[in-house]
Amino acid sequence: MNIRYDQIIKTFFYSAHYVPITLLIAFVPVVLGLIFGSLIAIGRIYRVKIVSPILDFIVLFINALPGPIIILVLITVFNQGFDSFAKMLHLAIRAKNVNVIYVGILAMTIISIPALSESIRGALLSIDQGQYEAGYSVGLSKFQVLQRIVLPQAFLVLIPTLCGDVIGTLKGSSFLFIIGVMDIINSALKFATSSYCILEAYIAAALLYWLMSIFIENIFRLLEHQMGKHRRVLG
Amino acid sequence: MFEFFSFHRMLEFFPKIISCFPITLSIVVVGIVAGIFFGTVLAFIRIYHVPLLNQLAFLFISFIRGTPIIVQLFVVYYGLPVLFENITGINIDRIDKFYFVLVTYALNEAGFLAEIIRASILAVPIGQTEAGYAVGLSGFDTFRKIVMPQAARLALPAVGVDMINLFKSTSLAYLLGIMDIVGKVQAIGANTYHYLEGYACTAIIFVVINFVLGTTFKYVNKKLSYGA
Repeated sequence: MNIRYDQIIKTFFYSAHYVPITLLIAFVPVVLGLIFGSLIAIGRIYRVKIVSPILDFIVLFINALPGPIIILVLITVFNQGFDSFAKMLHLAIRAKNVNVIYVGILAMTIISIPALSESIRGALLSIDQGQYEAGYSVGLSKFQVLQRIVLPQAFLVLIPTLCGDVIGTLKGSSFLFIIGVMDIINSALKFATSSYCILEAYIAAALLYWLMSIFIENIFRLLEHQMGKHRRVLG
Repeated sequence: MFEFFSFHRMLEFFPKIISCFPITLSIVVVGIVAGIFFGTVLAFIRIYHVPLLNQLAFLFISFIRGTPIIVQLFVVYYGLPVLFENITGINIDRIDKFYFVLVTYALNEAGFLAEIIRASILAVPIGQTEAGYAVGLSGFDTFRKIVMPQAARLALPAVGVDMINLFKSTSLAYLLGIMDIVGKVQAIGANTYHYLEGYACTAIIFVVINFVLGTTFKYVNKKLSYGA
C-alpha cells in the first residue's frame, strides 16, 4: 500500500476552489463576533446592572461547551424544529430549502461571539485604569474615552489574540463538514470518492488548512508591525 | 406530535452517558501525559537548535497548530497503518480505533504543549542556569533542580487552558466511532431519535468539567504565587 502523491496534488487543486467557502464560514462569524463581542465586553467591563451578570453567565456557559456540541445541537434543532416554526409564521420556506451554510455561519457565530468577547475583554482590561482617569480628567465623556483613548490602545493588544481566534474559528469551522457544507474537507472527499483515495484527500485538506493558517498568521504579523510602528516605547 | 425535549428522558439518558466518561477521561490523560513528555523533547530540540531536528520540530508544531484536529484524526487513522506497514511490514488495520485516537491527541498535545513549555523554559532567566553551573551542578541537574520548577510554575496557567481545550476537543473523537460521551449520545440518538436530551447531558458534563478544572487551576495558581 502506498500513498499516491499525484492524487494529493490533484485533490489539493480541486479543493482549493472551495477555499472561499471555508473563508466565508470562518470570517463572517469573526466579523460578527468582533462587533457583538465588543458590545458584550464593554457591557461587562462597565458592570451595567442586571445585564452584566447575565452576559457573564452566557459567555462562561458557551465558552465551556465544545464547538461541535453547539453545532450538533443547532443542526438538530434546525432539522426538527424549523418546519413547524416556519408554519407557525406562515412562511413558505422549509428546512430542505435552506442552504446549510447559513446554519453553519449561525453556529460559528454563536461560538465565536463569546470567545472573541473574552479576548476583547482581556485587551480592554490590560489598559491601565489611569488612561480612563486621564481621559475623564480632561473632560471627555465615557464614550469619548473609549473611542479616543482606550480602544486604539486595546486594539494593538488584541491583534495577537485575534490572530489565534481567527485561526481557531477557521479550524473550528472544519467541523461543519458534518452538516454537508461544501468546505475543504467535503470537497476533498467528494473528489476522492471516485478513486477511493481517502488518505490523500485528508492530506490535501490538511495542507490547505495549514497554508491558510500560515497565511493568516503572516497577515496579522504584518498588521501588528504596521500598527505598532507609531507606538512610543516608554521606559 | 413529536416530543421535542423532555427532562424525564434526559434523566434517563444521563447515567448511560456518564458511564462513557472514563473513555473521554482516558483520552485526556493520555494526551496530557504524552503531550508533556514529547512536548518537552520538542521544546528542547527547539531551544538547543539541534540541526535538522529543529527544522522538523518547527514543521511539526506548525502543522499541528495550523490544521484542525478533525483532519489530524483522519490523517492518523488512514495514514498510520500505511506508514507502519511501509516501515515494519506489519499490518495494523485491524487494531482498535481507540489507539489511533490516543495517538492523534497525544501528537496534538505534544505540538501545543511544546510551544508552551519552550516559552516557559525561555522565560526563566539565563542567570539561573549559570548559577546552577557556578555551584557545580551538571546540565541535567541544573535543569531538574533549578530551571524546571520555575518553568513549571510559569507554564501552569497556559497548561490549564490547554487542558480545558483538550477536554473540549475530545468531543470530536466520536467521528471515528469511539464510544465517548458524545459517541454515546449518537448511539442513543440513533436508537431513540432523541438527540437533544443527550446533547444537554454532555453540555452539563462539559460545563462541570470546565468549572472544576478552571477553579482547580486558579486555586493552585494562587497557592503557588508566593509573595508576588
